[in-house]
Amino acid sequence: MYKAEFDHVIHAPNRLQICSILSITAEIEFKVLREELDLSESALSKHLKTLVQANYVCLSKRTDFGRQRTWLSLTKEGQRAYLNHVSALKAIVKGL
Amino acid sequence: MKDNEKNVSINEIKSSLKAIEKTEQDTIKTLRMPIWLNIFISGSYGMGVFSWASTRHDNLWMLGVIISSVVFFFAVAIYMYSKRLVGIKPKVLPTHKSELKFGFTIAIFFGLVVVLSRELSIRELWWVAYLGGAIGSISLGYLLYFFPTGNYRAGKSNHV
Repeated sequence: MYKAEFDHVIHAPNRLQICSILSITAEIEFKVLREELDLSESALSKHLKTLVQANYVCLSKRTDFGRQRTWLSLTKEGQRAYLNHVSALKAIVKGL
Repeated sequence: MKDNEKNVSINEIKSSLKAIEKTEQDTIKTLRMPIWLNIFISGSYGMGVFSWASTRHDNLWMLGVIISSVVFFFAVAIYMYSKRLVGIKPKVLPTHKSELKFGFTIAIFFGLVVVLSRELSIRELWWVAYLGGAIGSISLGYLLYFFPTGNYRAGKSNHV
C-alpha cells in the first residue's frame, strides 16, 4: 500500500496525465507526449517546468538517430508522489 | 493526508481518476505491439518451451531451443527498437513494488511451466511438452497484449 498523500503539484489535470503516462513508461519523447496530450509546446513546457522544479520529472536531451530529442521520465520521488496522490484520490472516493 | 484536499470537489476527484484510467488505456494502446510481432514472440517462446521439454540425448530438439531463442530475442529487439524510434520506451525493469510483485508472479509462473514441462515430459508424459509450449505461448501472448507496460493495475483497467 502507498501512503495516501494529496499533492497539488500533480493534481492539475494536465500534470496528472503527464505523470500517469510517465509512470507506466520508461521514457517518452517530448514530441510524443505533446501529441498524446494534445497540448501546445508552450503549455507542455510550462507543466514540465513545474514538475522538474518539484524534482518529479527528469529531462534528458540526447542525440538519437542524428537528431536532438528530449526524453522525459519520472524520478523516484515523482513516482512515489504520483502513486501516493492516486492512493489519496482513491481513499477520498472510498471514504464517501 | 494534508488538509488542503478539502478544497477539491469529489466530482473533480472522480473525473481525475477517470482521466488517469483513460490516459493509461491510451498509453497501453500506443505501447501494444502489432499482432504479427506478438505471435512471433509468444510463438517462439512456446516453441522454446516445447523444444526444451522434448530435448533428449538422442534427438535434435536442442536445435529448436537455439532457433526459437534467436527468433525470440530478435523479435523483442525489433519491438524495443521500433518503440524507441517512435519516441516511447517501454519499461523493462519494474520501478515500484506493485510492478515488482506482478513481475515476480509472472516469472514464477513461466518458470514453473518450463520446469514442469521438462520434468513431466522426461517421465514418459510426452504430451506435457505440447501442453507446456501451448500454455507458455498463449499466456505470453495474452500478457503482451493486455499488459505491455508490466503494470497490473493499468493493464487490468484496459480489460474493461
